[in-house]
Amino acid sequence: MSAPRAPRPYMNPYLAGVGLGLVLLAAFVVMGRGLGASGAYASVVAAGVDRVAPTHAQANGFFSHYLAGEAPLKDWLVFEILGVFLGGFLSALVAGRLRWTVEHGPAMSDRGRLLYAFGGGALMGVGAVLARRCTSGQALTGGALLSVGSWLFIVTAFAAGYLAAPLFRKQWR
Amino acid sequence: MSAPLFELGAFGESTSLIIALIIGVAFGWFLEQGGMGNARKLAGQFYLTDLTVFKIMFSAVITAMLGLFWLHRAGVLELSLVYVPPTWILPQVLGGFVFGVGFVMGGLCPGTSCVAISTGRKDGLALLAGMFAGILAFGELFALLRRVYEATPAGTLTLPQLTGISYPVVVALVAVVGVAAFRLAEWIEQRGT
Amino acid sequence: MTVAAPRAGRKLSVGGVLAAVTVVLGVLAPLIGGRPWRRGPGVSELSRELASGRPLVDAITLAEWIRDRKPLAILDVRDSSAFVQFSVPTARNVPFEELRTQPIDSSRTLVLYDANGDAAVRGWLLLRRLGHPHARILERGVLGWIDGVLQPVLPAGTPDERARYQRVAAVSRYFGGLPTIGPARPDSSTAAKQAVRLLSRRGCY
Repeated sequence: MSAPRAPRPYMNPYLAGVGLGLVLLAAFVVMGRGLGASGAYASVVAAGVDRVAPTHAQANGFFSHYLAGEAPLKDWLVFEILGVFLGGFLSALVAGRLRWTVEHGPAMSDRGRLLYAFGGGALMGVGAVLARRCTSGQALTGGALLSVGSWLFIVTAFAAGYLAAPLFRKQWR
Repeated sequence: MSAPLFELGAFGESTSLIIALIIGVAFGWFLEQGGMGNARKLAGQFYLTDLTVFKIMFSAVITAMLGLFWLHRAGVLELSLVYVPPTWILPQVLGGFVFGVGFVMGGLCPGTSCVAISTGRKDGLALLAGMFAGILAFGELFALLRRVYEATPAGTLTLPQLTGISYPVVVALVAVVGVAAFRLAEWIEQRGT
Repeated sequence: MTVAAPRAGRKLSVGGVLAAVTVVLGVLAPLIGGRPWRRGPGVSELSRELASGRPLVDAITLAEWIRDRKPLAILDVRDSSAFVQFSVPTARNVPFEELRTQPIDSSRTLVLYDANGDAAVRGWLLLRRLGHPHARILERGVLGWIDGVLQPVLPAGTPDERARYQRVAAVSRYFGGLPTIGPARPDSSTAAKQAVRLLSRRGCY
């Protein structure tokens, strides 16, 4: 009987970073734009609202922006995000890191962690929309282009993270 | 100049969507390879036990920054055709702060949550659901939030433009400071063990 | 028989190599010098410009500019077979792929046109972003020229309409056109509007 394959160790972070940087560079060279993630989610939300309440969506200053153009889901970022799902899956498959589980420390419950995740996600949703982009968009793309707003975003996000970290420590205990 | 290919008419919108998919796959691949799909590993950044987030992100930024500079210098890439995200001072500082709290609370970011989900982590799903809720709430309350959202636009503003330091010098500074920061990160991590 | 011991030396770590390469590439930047990064108007600014309609020029105005020898460079961005069949007088054929090589000349106004698709709008965007200061788009492209200058149909009932008819007829005949009096035709300029909508999603967060 064969033992379950042990998950392979993670790639050297600097190498992974260089790899990511080259992907980002490819996006610049091929498309003239960088990467992103939160924009895709905003498109999905806007499309959803449009489905449920079209006049409301069109009248809303925020959602209507994402509904301009052919079809909000036929959008570059949406396709890119689908690729991210696939790429993450393939990498974990090859490395034996696929696990249907909830990540948290031993002292935390699944449910507690899921609540924190939801809450964190909600805050990030608001923050990313306010700032026009998220870590992938601002930090990576804007960072490489030396955009002031992006660097401001990264610095304040990390600062806020360190300040708020004690509040959420129990998830990882 | 031969790049950016899309801006110079090398291919159309449909092809660009396929390219988006391919680029996304590579993006997700490297994120997972670095362990960024695992919230526990990501959270280590904020408890100074595992600074992988910083190492990966900053290595990526420096790599792409150097690539952009040298490709533009070589005349291959035309930077004036590359989209630079505009700067909105107040929304980006405020949004950054809110985002940062959410980041340490959730342990994942919008991009990495995809990797978490596709590798089976249920907390990634919860986070994504939270993000949809947050975006929806923002959209619904947009009338109230609009003033903040549209405050302090600064247009396209880069560090060289702001500081008056020339682009090549800024590149050099970021590269050198970056490497120093990585040394510091290694030291911090070792101190913890 | 003893095997020679491996030569002692510093092992090259991945991190070390990356760090060295980074520092070298970084420090070389100011030493070798960069190429100026011309930051022209951004996509959002340009889409606002397009939405305002300012870059558009109607065929009659363009015709008057040509007749009055205003410094112009009229660029036909269609491919050569279309250009050979019919082109606006004094136009040059510069297919989209070659637009990037167009030298920047602030003394002339660039006017782009196509068959009334989106190529002229995209070409305008490209040129403006590369830093060309004066670039315009012929409203409705070749069709606009044919309808507006070569076969204009205008009402001439009121004094205003008659004055306009005279102006149009004069420039039309200059280019060998046949102006006629009749009811006004409905106008539709969708290319620019569509381009603005597509543009405002570009590079979107």
